[in-house]
Amino acid sequence: MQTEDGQVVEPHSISAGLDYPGIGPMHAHLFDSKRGAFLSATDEQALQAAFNLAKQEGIIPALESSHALPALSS
Amino acid sequence: MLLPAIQNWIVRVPVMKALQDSGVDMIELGMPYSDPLADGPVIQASSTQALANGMTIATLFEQLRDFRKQVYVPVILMGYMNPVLQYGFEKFCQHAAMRPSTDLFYPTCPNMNLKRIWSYYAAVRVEFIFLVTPETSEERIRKLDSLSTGFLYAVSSSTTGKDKDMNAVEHYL
Repeated sequence: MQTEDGQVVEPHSISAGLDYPGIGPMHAHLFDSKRGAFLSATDEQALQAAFNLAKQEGIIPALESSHALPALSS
Repeated sequence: MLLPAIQNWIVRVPVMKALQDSGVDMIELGMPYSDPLADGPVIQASSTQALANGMTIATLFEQLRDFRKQVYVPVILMGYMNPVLQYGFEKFCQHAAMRPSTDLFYPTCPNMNLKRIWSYYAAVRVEFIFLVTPETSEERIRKLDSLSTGFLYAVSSSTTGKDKDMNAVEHYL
């Protein structure tokens, strides 16, 4: 995540592990080669999904992993 | 080291001239970056202020357009690769070459990229400076010395702007 001038953009995520502006070369390659689909979820969606999983399945997920759950429901 | 745009938008060519008149051999002009991981708190803070003042590489080159009318000592542009890559590496080298006697020096240029960028440097005849630290092996120092077309920058501490044990620095040098 960077500006047009190549300065790093301050990121934000409710989850510490995703609160970071960079990605690794593997993910960059998956994106460029279109072998991977990259989806997004808001803080609210991730948090709500975490609560739902805890209530319904008794599993308390990490907030990072919780971002995958809204993608499943859509 | 002089970081442009600390005050207003001006690269401070008069400051560069004042340094020259005071007898400096060369001037290192820092290109501010948001994540200056190779620099200490003083230069980090000055980079943040320069960026808040709107400094960009394009602005820097514009303000250096006629600096050779007043400044004749060598000037070294020091920066990080990301803004240069966004600016366009070939364009950056060409514009640097248009400002005579500017050399380039990047703390974060991985060795593996050298073959790709070397042809640009050779084509525009801009000097390239490598860094060595107290942890660099003698073998690597010699290799970097053979590749460096300007001079070798000896990093005397882990980060810039910190207090140093000058006896240790002298022994290292």
